[in-house]
Amino acid sequence: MSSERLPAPHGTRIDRARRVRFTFNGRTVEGFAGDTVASALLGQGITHVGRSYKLHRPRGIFSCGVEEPTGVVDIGAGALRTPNTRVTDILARDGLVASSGNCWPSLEFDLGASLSRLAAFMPAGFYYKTFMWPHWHLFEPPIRYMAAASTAGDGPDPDRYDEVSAKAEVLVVGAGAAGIVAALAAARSGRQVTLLEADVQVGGWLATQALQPLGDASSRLQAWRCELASAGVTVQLRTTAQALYDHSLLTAIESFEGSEAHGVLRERLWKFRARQIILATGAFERPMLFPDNDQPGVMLAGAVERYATHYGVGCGSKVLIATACDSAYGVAQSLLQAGIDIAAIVDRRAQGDVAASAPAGIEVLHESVVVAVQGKRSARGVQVAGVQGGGSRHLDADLVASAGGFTPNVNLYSQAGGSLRWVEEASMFVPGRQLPGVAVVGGAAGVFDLRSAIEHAEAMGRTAIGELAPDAPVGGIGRVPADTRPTPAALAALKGKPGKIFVDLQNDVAASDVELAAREGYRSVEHLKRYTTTGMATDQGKTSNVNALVLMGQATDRRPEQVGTTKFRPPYKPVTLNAMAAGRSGARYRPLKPLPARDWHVARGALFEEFGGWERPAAYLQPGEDLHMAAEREAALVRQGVGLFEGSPLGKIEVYGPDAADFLDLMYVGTMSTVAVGGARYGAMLNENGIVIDDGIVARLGPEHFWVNTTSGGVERAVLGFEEWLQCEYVHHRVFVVPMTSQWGNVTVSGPNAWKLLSKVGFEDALAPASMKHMTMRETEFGGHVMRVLRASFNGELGYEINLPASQTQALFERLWDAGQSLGVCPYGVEALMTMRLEKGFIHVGADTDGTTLPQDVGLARAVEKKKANFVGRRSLSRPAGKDPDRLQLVGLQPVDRRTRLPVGAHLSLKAPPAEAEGFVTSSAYSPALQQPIALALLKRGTQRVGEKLQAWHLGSAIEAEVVKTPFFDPAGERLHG
Amino acid sequence: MVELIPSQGGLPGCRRVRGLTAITIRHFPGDASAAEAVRTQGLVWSNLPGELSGSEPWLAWRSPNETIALGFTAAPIQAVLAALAPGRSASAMAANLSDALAVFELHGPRIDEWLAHLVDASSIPRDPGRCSRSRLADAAVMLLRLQADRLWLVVDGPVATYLENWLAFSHEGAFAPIL
Repeated sequence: MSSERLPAPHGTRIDRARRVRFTFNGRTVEGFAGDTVASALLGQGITHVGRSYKLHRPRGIFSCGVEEPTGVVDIGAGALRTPNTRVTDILARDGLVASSGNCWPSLEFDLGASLSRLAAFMPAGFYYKTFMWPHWHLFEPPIRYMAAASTAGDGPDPDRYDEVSAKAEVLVVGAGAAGIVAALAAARSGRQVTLLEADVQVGGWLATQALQPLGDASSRLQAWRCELASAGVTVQLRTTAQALYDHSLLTAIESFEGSEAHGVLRERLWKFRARQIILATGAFERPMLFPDNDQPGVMLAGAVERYATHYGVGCGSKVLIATACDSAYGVAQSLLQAGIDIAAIVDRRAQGDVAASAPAGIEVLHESVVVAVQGKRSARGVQVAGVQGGGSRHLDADLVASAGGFTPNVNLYSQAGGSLRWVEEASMFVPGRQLPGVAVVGGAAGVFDLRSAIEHAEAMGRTAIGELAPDAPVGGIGRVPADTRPTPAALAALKGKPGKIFVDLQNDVAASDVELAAREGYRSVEHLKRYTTTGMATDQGKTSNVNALVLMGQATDRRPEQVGTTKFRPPYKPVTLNAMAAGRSGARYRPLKPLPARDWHVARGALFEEFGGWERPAAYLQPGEDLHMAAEREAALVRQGVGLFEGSPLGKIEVYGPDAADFLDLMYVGTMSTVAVGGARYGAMLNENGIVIDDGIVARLGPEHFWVNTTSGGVERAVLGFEEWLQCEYVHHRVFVVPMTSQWGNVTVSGPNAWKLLSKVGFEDALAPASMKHMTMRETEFGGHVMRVLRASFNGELGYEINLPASQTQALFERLWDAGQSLGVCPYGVEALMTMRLEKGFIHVGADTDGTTLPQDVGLARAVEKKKANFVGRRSLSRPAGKDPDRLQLVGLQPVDRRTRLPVGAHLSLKAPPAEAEGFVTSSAYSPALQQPIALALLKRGTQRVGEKLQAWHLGSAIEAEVVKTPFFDPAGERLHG
Repeated sequence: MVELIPSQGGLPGCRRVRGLTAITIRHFPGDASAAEAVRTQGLVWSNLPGELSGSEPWLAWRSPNETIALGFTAAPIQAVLAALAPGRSASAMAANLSDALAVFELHGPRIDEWLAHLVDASSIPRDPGRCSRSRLADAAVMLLRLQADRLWLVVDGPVATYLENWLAFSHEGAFAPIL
């Protein structure tokens, strides 16, 4: 293949007055403004650009668009690297750096190419049958290394991305001839129209033979631009529609790469909501199937034409056209006009099936196929044979242009829920039915006759929602066979072993792999895809899927429509992750909520960590301390004196209404309706399966007024759960659920001196332990503000949770801190709290429970038995699984040596792995109160195994542990009262 | 008010609004006590979807059984809060949200253009006297159109910093000089 630049005026897209220079594998490449990287490479005669994924076979540029399967390179370097990008999709620009991936040490000399010699041992699915002995772990590291086709950027992406939402009355996707006509018709009918086009200009394949009846390309383009402008159509170029979701939500990515705006913005995510969507997304050319069809020097015929007409590049000087479609004849004419020699047209079809005429002087071989392509990294010639066999014939050619029909681009239509139908004559899938609000025109609808396409697009553009739309006049490419492979007779005429016939060029999937999948029972198209990996590369099967399913149909005696297509999913083409993130990084990644008294914690040296979406002090490190040391010190100090903790993130919900009490009885294990005003009760919340999903204290503020605490991370879930029950099930319950977490700060004062401190600053005596019992709530006024004080404790010490207006939280901390110096007040963080609650054996939902934990597993069986009223999940508790004596139950653990900490997650068993584990460690800490490590664990029949010794396995090592009862500390709970 | 992004050069700006009193008013279908409590204070009750009534203070429809009242004039709002304190009415209640909410004011020209980079365009209240709920990145927000060139963005207080970051970022993205 000897590609080269054609002389002017060929190349409607390029500006020969403006040169651009970039590098490819370190080599300088020159092109023109308007070139893609692909056209610039071809213009400079560079035809070998990559290696296939599995076998590292040489690969060239195959197409001229987004469907490119083999011209895949890395663009950029360092943090700016974008791996595995189609050269056909990137504009050439000064300074661009392109490099081949999946090859080492170089593209030309790739050690991975030696795998080609083992191709016979590497058919589809070979890795499911190998790499097992002696152990698969042995093979995993090299396979992982080799499986990477490239490397990602190695630093934070410095480019900027953006997102914008827009509305459109009519949204037209694709600005080829059909799309433009539809857009103009819609606009002239008085509607607002937005037209999206992925390319840098409207017009589609304007300069090609297919659209020649529209006249001179440049004049037509200019005329359309003027018409679109005067009709008020909003045209958005370089914007690729990616997905079409429910409710007419369409997303698209606008690219600024290579433009002058790139320094400001690289990509923008558009989210359109449109009343009506018209898809004019065109069609992909389907490649012919013949031996050696994968090597550089074989390209899609339409692409060859476009490189000549749009970019002024001759991809070969002597082109052989292999075809089974009438379109090839127009391509031949186009290439001749560009001064490119045509070796011959090799048409698989009988002459009677051909409706097009060949250019004068061009040899046409009917009922003939290519049976071999000579050359390794470029084509030198082909062997051609008749489909009936006989002999084969050599033809000189440095390029094989392949035209096997068309595949309408129905990706977005299918995403919108449209079903496809197979058109036997043209061997293609087209939209099968009309969708409300979504119309399909042009090649995407399977309409290839230009006049019919224009008429249909105009009619669809005029058609408003709800009106009956005309059916698409499918056809216009003549008769195209589904299976374009050489016949066995033709292959036999080669008199030698034919090369592989590739279906998926990027993943090296051959026709033989499809047949293998059929023989092994992977007949479903979804299994075909996953077993052979056809369609799973970066091109998403745009040029391979139909051929693959046709072959599967042949192998299993089914028609293509019986095999069907795989599910079309977004995105339409590969998208950079940051385009979808659209700014969600750093501080914008997700909300990280600061505490109301954050400054106070900062001033005390808090080490902040994220807990449930809040930034909270894990501990307050002093010089020489690490986190564990600080937490142990704080826990010890709290138990000796008094500690201050900010519990503001604790979930707070006010529940009010005539049915509030009854409703809370339904929501909790634990009867809330019998709590006296001013009283409080602990409750666990279950889901419908009886699984523990949250817990907290419910206090009664009034006869019909409750204060509900939930876990810090569970409040939103709890509110949603309450509302769902009220709106969907208990619809007659008159209850308000009012989330109040952010309104109220929480200062928790805890320890033997807790009341001393509160009294010292002036809290009223009614809150003294003698007057205010544990698990009661009082409203009080302090410092001019109403506060709700709850006597409760998560650490087993005398504790007061003071709820106050969030804006007053810091002021109270400061006041208590100043007054508490003589009492040895200390701040304590989440780690110390977790240590202390562990000493008391209190559960932490989510840590000591998982998606299988029932209330009886964590010591709440009695609460379930005592409660007479119904509650969510009650019925599920009576299922056999809930009564299984072997259930995992929460127990205490301590290391037998009293020294070694038991790692969270360590598996518990009597015997070494691979013996089945009988449980696992859920929480673990060093207990300052007991001066030894302690842990909680979920263990089979745990409560019946107190005193038993077993092994805790972690990363191959065992720690001997003993099952013990909880609480570890203050079992009588006497410290609660100060 | 704390100016976060000044409005200049024909572009909108943003400031943090402080000193507001805010309450949530909840009411069951058929309740009359909430409307009465509001009207007694000379405020304009709104119970139509998307309606933002009054003018300092304002009442914003949030759902069929929730209205938010907010403004700089505390007295009437606090009076409504007292009148609808839990226990005063069997079919309505009010709760203080003054510390729970953060309010940002977007002001100046091209507010809608800016907002399109933050929320779904369909959710932007275009006319004064309209309000809506929407999602801004990972935060739930209410949008109150006070005037053509003045819109309040109401969000849960603890995500205020997160909102500030998004406002700054989106302002850049919306009005960057892209050629």
